[in-house]
Amino acid sequence: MQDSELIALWRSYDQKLQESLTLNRQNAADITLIKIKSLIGSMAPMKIIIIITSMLWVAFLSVVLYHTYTFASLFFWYSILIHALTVTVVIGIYIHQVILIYQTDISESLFKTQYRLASLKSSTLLISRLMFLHAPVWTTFSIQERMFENPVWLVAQGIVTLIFVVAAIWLFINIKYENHEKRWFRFIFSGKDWIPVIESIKMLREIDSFQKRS
Amino acid sequence: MLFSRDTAGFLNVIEANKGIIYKVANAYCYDVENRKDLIQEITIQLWLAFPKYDEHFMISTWMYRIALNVSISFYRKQTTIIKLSQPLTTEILSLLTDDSPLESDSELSLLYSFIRELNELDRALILLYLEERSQQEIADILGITPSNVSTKVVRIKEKLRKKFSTLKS
Repeated sequence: MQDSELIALWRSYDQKLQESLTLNRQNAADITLIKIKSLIGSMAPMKIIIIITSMLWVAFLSVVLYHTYTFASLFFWYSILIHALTVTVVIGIYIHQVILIYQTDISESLFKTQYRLASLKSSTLLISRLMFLHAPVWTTFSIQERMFENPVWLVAQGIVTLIFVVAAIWLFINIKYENHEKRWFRFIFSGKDWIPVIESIKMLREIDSFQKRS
Repeated sequence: MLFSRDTAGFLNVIEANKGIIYKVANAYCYDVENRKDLIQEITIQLWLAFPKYDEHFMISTWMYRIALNVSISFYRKQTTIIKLSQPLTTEILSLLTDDSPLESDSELSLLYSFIRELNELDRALILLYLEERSQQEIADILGITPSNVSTKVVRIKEKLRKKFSTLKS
């Protein structure tokens, strides 16, 4: 089919639509009278709640770390420190997401808006990777120095922590778009909430590829 | 019912450009019921953005940007957007005839199905090309350069031509 035929075909479609498409003014007017949320702005409140809650949590952990510095077990103290630092990084990502939300204007160009929205959504995967990466601290924070006197416990603790460390590092490295079709990935990120995250990463790649190929 | 001045102005804009909303929604949403929701969502977002309309751009550029941005986001995350919008199930745009133009024209129906096979960005580009928008307006809507537009359009048209010729041979 030639260009001119394509255009002519589309023109005929447009003509038919002009003849038969009608606007229900009353229904459209009803929309202007109800309280409606913006597509993008509605994402912000939940993220702001998470930021505030997480900041309070980090503040509490900081107080604990400050007051237990002189007498707490090193395992407890450093495990909590790593956890607090990880949550702080996650707070930073959420703040970045909220900034992106408020910067996004749906009437801006397609690439600009879609890039912002896709970056916003895909950064959720980074939060999951960080959460997995710091998981081993949950196996170490309750260790007491006196437990080292028991060799059986020492071996068991060592094995559990090692498994967590290896799994955490492996997941941190391998949770990426290239693996999204793999069974383990789909097991972890199953559910409708994760589909848009994966689709967003695909969109980011399409935008990059679109701009490179042009 | 009396509309406020803004509402009347908004409705006139929608009336004059209803084809844009319908054609974009149709390119990104195959299911009739979901398409009604998408048209409603586009109308809501147009209404929200209406007070901020920048007169430096043509009204069609502004409408395409919003309709395409909403449709692509809808395509990516249908359930959430439906949840975000109001639970209205009213039809904003409707066809007077029972048969849509797509159903009554097999070549047009084929063209639409080929367009729907393209990725979201290529789909937007070819839609604007078929709508006979200028390269500059397409570039403004998409946010790329006019030369990028022309290069990409050539490639996508080639894809469409191949699909048609494969089918005919």
